[in-house]
This record gives sequence, C-alpha cells and structure tokens, in this order.
Amino acid sequence: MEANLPMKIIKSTLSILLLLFCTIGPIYASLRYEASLTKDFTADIVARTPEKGNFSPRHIKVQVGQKVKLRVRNVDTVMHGFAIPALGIDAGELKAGKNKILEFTPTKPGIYDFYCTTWCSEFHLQMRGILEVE
Amino acid sequence: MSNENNNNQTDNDQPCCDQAGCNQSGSRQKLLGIIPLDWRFDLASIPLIRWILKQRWFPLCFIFMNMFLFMLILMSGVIGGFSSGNYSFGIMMVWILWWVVLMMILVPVFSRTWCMVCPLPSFGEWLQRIKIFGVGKKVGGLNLKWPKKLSNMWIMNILFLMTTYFSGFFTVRPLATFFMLGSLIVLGIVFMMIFEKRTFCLYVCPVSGFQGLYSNLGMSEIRVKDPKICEKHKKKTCVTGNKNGYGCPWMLEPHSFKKNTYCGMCLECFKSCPFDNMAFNLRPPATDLLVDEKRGLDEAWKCFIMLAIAVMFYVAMMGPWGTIKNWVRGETFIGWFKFISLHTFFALVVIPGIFGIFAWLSKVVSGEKDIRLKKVFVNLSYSLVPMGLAAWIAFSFGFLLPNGSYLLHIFSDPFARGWDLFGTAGIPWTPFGTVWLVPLQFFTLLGGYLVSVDYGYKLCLQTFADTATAKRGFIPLLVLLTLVTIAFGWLYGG
Amino acid sequence: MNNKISVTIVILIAAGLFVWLASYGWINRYGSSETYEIVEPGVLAVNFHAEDLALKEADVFAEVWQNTPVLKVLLNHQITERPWPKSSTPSVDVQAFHNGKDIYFKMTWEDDHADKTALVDSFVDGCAVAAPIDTDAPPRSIMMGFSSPVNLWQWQANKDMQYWQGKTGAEQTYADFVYPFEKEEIFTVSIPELNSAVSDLLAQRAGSVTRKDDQIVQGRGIWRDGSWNVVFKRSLTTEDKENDCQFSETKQSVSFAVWDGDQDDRGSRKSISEWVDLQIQPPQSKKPAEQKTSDVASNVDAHKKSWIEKLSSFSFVSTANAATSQTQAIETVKEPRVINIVAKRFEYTPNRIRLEKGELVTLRMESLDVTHGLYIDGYDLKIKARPGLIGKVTFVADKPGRFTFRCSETCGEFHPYMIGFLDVTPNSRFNAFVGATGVTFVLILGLVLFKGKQKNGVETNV
Repeated sequence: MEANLPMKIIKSTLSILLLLFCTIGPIYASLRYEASLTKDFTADIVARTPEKGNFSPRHIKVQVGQKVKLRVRNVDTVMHGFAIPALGIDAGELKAGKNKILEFTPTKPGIYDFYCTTWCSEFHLQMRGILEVE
Repeated sequence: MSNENNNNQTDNDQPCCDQAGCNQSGSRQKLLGIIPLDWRFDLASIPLIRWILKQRWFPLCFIFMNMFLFMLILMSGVIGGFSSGNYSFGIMMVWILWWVVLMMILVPVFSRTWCMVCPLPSFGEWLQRIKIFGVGKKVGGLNLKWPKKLSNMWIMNILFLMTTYFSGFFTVRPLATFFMLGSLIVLGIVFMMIFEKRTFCLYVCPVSGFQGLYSNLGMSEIRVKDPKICEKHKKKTCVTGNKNGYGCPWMLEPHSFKKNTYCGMCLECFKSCPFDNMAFNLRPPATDLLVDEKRGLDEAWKCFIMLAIAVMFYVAMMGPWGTIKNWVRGETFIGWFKFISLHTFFALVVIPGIFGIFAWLSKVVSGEKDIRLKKVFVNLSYSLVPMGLAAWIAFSFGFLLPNGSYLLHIFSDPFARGWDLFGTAGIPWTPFGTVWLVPLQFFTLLGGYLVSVDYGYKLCLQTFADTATAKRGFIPLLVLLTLVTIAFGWLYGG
Repeated sequence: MNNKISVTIVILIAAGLFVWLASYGWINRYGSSETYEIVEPGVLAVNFHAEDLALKEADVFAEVWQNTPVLKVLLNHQITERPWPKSSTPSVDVQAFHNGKDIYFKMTWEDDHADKTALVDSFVDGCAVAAPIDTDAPPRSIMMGFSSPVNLWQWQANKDMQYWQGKTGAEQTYADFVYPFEKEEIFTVSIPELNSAVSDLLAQRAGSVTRKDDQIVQGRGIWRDGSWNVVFKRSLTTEDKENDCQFSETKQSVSFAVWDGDQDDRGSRKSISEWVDLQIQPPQSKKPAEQKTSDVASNVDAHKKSWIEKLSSFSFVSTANAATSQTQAIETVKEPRVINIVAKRFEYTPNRIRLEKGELVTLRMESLDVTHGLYIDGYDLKIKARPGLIGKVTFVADKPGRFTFRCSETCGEFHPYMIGFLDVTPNSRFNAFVGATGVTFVLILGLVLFKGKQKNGVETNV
C-alpha cells in the first residue's frame, strides 16, 4: 500500500487537473478567444427590438479620420438590420443570431443616425442610435 | 408474420436456461418468429473491451468529455438569454443532438448508456465519494436511506410531466435550458449529499424515468455471466464494493438482477467483481418487457405519460395550430394554464382511461374469472413501450431532418458571436431529406407496431392462465395497438 | 454534526452559484443589461375652433394656429425600403384643429431652401399626412401600411405653385415619383390639370400607391424664414368610407412624411414619422357619438374583404425564387390557382392548404408582423415575405401526401414551430400506411385465431 502512495498522488492530481480542464477550461478558452477577436473593436453593438432594450450602446463617439470597427450582434429572435444612411453604410439584413463587422473611416465630423433597416416590431422606428464623429 | 405461438406450450416444462434475462414463460420464444429471445452476445468476451470496461477511467473519460460540452452548453445558456434558440449551442446540443441521439441510438441500442456518461450527477457523486478517480472508504454527505414508499417511478413521472409544462421555454430559450440543466445539477448535489449513492438518479431525475422504462427495450444489458459463480461467492463485492470498485451505486444486486430499469450501467460491478463474471450483452430488443419484476402502476403510468407527451409535443410543436402554440409559449398565463391542465388530464386520465377500457375488455374477452384487472392492466401496459419509443423516434425525425443543419452552424459559432471555428458557421438553414420525413415516420411506427404486437401477445401468454384465454385476451390489445398506430400515423401524416 | 455542517455548506455553495448565474443570465437576457423605455409618440390634440380657412396665403399663418397646441414629431430616414434618402429632416411641428365640418393639419419644418421646380433631375419639397382607413388596424406600421389601406395626402411644392399661382416653373415634362422602387418608378410625363396642391392617394403596402378618383383634399404651403408651413384641409368625414380616412371622435391616428428636394428626396426617399394618435375634441354642438361608433365598426369588415380582393391587382412585388417555377407555369398554360396566405407569429392562415395532385398553384404570402418565410417540405420551395411586401411561388403539386410547410426566416422564439400543412390529395402515403397496418392486423388476428383452433387438436412441439 505504501509503495502505491506516489502513484495515488499522481492519479489524484491528474484527475483534479483533468476536472479543471473540463470545467473551467472551456469557459476560460472561449472567453479568451472572444477577447482576442474583439480587442480592436470600437464598439460592440447589440441589436434588440426597442421593447427588449433597443440598440446597446445607442450613442457611440468616434474620432474623425480614425478607423472605426463596429460589430453589430443580433441577439434577438427576429431579423434586424443596421445602417448609417448618411455615411452610406449598410450591413444589410441581419438575421437572428448573426453578426456583422463594419469597418470605415469617417471623414466629416457630425452627428449621424444609425437605424435598424428591417421591420422588426411595432416600435421599429424607435430602433435608432447616434454615431458622433468628433 | 409471427409464429411465436408454435412454442409456448412447452415453455413451462423446460427448466429455465442459464442465460441471463430468461423468465418463466419465454426461454425459447422468438421475436417476430425470427430472433430467439435468449440470444446473447457478450461484448466483454472480447478481451480488449473487457479490459477497457474494467478501467476506472473508462466511463470517467466520457463523463469528462461530456462535462466539457456541458460547460459550453451552460455557458451558452447563461449568456444566450432570450436569444434565438436555433443559434444557441445549448438548445441545439440538448434538444436536437442529445435528444435525437438518446431516442434513436442510445436508448434503443445501448439501453441506459446515457446514464453511464451523464455528467449531471458527477459533481454530487464526487463530493459524496470525496474522490474523483480512485475508490475510497470515506463517505461525504449524510447517506440517508430513501423512503421505501417513494422507491418507484411516481416522483419521476410527475417531475417529467412537469418539465414538459415548460417545453415552450426550455426548447427555445437558451436561458431556460440553463435553468433546467443547472437545477438538475444542483438537485443532484443536494440529493447526493443527503441520500445515499445514486438515489437522485434512481428516483428523482426526470430523464431517468423514461430511460429506465424504455431501456427494457434496449438491445444491451449488463448481467451476470454465470450465476453459479455468484452463488459460491459469499462476499458479494458487487454489492459491498472492494478496492477496485464501489458497491453498486444504483443499489441493485448485480449478481442477480434481471431487468434494465434501474441499472445505470455505471460499470462498477465490472470493476468490483473478482471473477470477471459480469457480461455486457447485446440481445434482441425488448426482452426485459417480459421480466415480471417490480412491475407496477408507476411504470404503467410512465408508458401513458410518454405516449401523451409524444402526442402533445407533436400537436404543439409540429402542428399548424397557432392558438395552442400561444398557450404553450405562455403568452398569457390563462392560456398556459389551459395547456397544462389539458396536457395533465390527457396524460394522467384520458390515455390510461382508454387503456383501462381495453384492459377490462381483455379480461372479459379472455373469460378468465379469477385474474385481477390490475394485473392485466399493468402487465399489458408494457406492450405500449415499443409503440411509445417508435412514436418518439418518429417525432424526433420531425426535427432532425428539417433543423439538423443548425448543428453545423453552432459547432463553429457556439455563442452567436461571429466565430468560425471549423468553417461551417456560414452554412444556412438547409432542411435535409424532408421528402422522406413522413414515410420514415410511417416505417418507424410500423416497426414499433410489430414489436408491440409481438410482445403484447407474449405478455398475454404470461398474464393469463393458459394459451386459449391468452389468445382471446390478446384480441382487444391487438385492436388497441392497431388503433394507436393508425392514430399516430394520422397525426404525423394523415 | 460536522458532517451536517459540511453538507449544508456544500449545498449552499452549489445553490448560491446557481442562483447567481441564473440572475446574471436573467439580467442580461437580451444580450445586455441596458434597457430602453418606449417613447410614446404623443397625442395630437385636434381642438374645436369655429374657424373656416379658405387657404389664402394669410390663412397659413392665421391666428387660430397660435391657439392650437404644437406637437413636435420626430422623423426618421425611410430606410426600410430601398432606395434610401441621403439625409433626413430631423423633426416636424404638427398642429391640427377642426370646425365641426373640416379638419385642418399644419406641418412646419425647417428647410433652408425652397425647392419648387420639378425637372428631370431636380426634385421638389413636399410633405404628407397619412391615416389608415381601418381605424382598428394595428396602429403602428410603416407609412405604406400592411394591415390596412392608408389614405395619403401628399402636398408638393411644384403643384402648390401650379395650383395657387398658375406657374409650372418647368417648361418640359417632369418626373412625378410615387413608386418606391427605382427601376419601376412611375412618373407622369405630362403636367396634369390640377384641382388641388395636394394629391389624394391610397396605398396598401409598398409599391401600391394609387391616385384616388376623387381628389378632395386641399392644401397650401408657404416657405418663409427658412421654414415650410403647409396646411391641409379636408372634411372630417366623407361618403366614400372605403377610400377615405374618417375623422370621428373615436380612434384615429396619423403619420407624417417630409421630402427635401435639394437632397434628391422623392418617392420613397423621405423622412417618416411614427403613428401619432389624434384626440379629436367634440364640436361645441354635441352629437350622439355612440351610434357612429357601431357604424364604423360594421363598415370595417366590409372594407377588409374588399381590400383583400383587391390585393392581386394591387401588388407588383415578388421576392420569391419563382424563376424555376415560372418555367413550369409556362409549360402548363393553365392559370394557376392563387392561394393567399397571411403569416403572423407563429401561425399561417390558412394553416392547412388542400390541393389536388397535379394542380398548378400560386402561393402568395403576406406577413402581418415581421419577416416570415415559407419552406415546403419535399417540394423544396421557399418564399420570403417581408412586412408590406408579398412573396410568391408557383408550382405544380405533383407529389401526393401531407407535407409540412415551415417558416424559413427566424421570426421569434417559436420560429422552429411555425408550421402549416399542405395536403395534396389523394394522400396515397397515408393510405398505404393504413393499408399495411390493416393487413398486418388481419394477418395477426387470423394467425392467432387459426392457430388457436389448431392448438386444441394438435400439440406442436418444438
């Protein structure tokens, strides 16, 4: 029995390591992966119908002449869209669960509205936000 | 079609064979007149498989693998909130992949193999054993005995029925799936801490009940190879445990049990048996339905509930009726209440009532006076098991074929954050083989019908005193099974 | 005792962790904890003033307008339908009153330049008031509503000039854009005789703007100090309840639109508002309002029917992938049978479609809330219908049996369960199934009975 002691310790450490790998591991890995993907995003916009919380954030400030990288995430159960008509930016139809990454460089300071482009709810017209270029 | 009638007369004269799974009336019976019911193939007779089954890491590595996936499922539930279910890893894994694999492969072929690899009670079990890997003497928790009165399926029946009340949430809201799985894990820990061994899995877990019942139909079993060896073995390490394995966590007596219902296939008995006397048998389907052990109204009602839920799910999820959908998804509380009352009434009263009428007819037609109606009712109810499983498999085709393609998407993009791990995130929803959906369902139902009828007849032989009465008593059951089959066929494609 | 304590601790930790995660998930159930409070678009008071305006230039600035409450209505880019406008007018100030006979609306908005001349490539300022004909229709929908026909009053600066001052400003023909789709924009090539500065239009959905036969709305606009001021005038109620919106003391709502000519706004390129509820003050001489209500209600059904019949002649738009099926349609010269489907969350109406084998059909689908689709199992056909547009597919029902059609555009949490049945008779598959079951039944029954009799005679041994 005594001779098996080191073996036992190895086994129990191994099993605890395995347990950690299988429980905390996937969570940690996915959070890290997500962080590495999103690190250069100017903003991560979540799209919901207005009654579920509307765009979030609804007010984005960016610097003129600097590259803007937006991700629009449709976390809703219906189709949305995303467009800044005054800047000619259109993400097209954004189906439920889909993402779009938009990259552009604003050249003129000003306040631009962004909108949902798909009829998504009876309050669809309130689904809008502001992109402020300074 | 079925010439099982040829051989029933000699059954009682023949001594019960030494094979596992034999019973008084069925040692030489054949399934559909083709496959002898006592046919067995011991997978563990292959040395490599036996060696694997005896390793302590064996089910554990699958548990770890599943735990890895479950963590992702739980995480997608927590951060997925009320998002679209068809882009949620959790929803798709649980309600498309797991459910389909469980219903189509695991239960019909491998019996309760899911319980072998289920990660839900593992946290509790490890806390109870204060060990993950090895075998120890110390026990954590209070280890109380579960009350005898509750040692049956009633709690599982009720809990499973209640779980389906929320099917309009669980199957579409990622967060609701998290609530369900998370509360199962927590309940598991609580029960493991308070009660002994796998009390939670045996008598509480809602998924366990139907797996237990339907695994009687499964094509594999864990049994003793040679009962004579066990008779000589006085220590019964499969019950008490030794340094290689725990005593049966499912509180069975592995040396003598005959029925799959309460065997969770945890493989501890393979490890604790010093004589390598355990076998992992492949067998013809459904032989355990004939085993007259621990039969009761609880299992009969389980049959009815499963049938009722198959009907209700189809009506609510794959039927065209918007009003019922609004009830099920809880648009208004009143509507939802209507749904649960109708559902409960249908499952607990209507279906058992219909079956009861036919059981009574069976008793009357058989002409046997001194048999109790309850016995007829309970025994014959097992003939609904193959029918029920067929109905469930057919139902599962109904979402596997149209919605299976979502799986490809969620493997690559599990949290709907624009990932593309395996390059399949861009695959759109593509229904697959839907032209075959209804024919597949029909074939499945017909298969279930044949097995049901076959076992219905055998159960009649077992229930009634002699062959003549059994044949008469069988006729109402045959009519019922035919009607049920046609009713399901009408529901699925008529 | 120790054991009990540790058990309690373990259970508490497990339960606590679960509750914490669950509450985190609940708070962030919509992807972020940020919330938004729905802005009610406000109520426009339509007070009674015993004032009759003849729409002279001074009437646009008449004193009555000083006593009328102003509602600032927020405007949006119209970007649900292409083409989009380049920019938008941020808001418009709206006023309204009535004198028991006529109702007046006044719209005031800032525009630094008055564009009054329409040429082939220059466009005019304009504005519009829209009101649904069916007042019970869901109150919020895009300007060219899809749940009710909408009565549109469109004022345009060039028509104003032509009507009130007799000048066209343009010597040639000009484009009068009403159709929202670039390629098929309908325009008038001659300058029509005008009897008003306001066009009285009807629309049911995108692409269906139609000029009414009776032009009964008057209007006048004056550009002054960097603002347009436009007044509309029409009788409160009219005889033609099928084509005119009615302003009774019961429910009614309106929405507004503004075109800015120098931003190339025309047709669908405009700024639009949400629906604004009207609160119409009864005239000083009170009338029994009760009877009127029931009148309106009973008329509503009549409208609906007639409008659904009009659907086919009204819409030109199809988003379906009808390319392949249209070839089929040509081969069989027969007219397809048209089946209209209305989709809303999570049901199709009708939810069962019965066809005969070999029948040529066109399914036309319209959505009442969000974008829906329709995919037919086995036939592998897809329709997509955005709200306000119609999706179509034409096919020959050559496969018999019951097929499920299901929604193909994620439309809500129950989207996977949004289902309807397509029955192509005769259902030979089901008949075969019943036949097979029946034959099996008879066989088994015969086997049991027959063998049973034999059993009494001969004892068969194995």
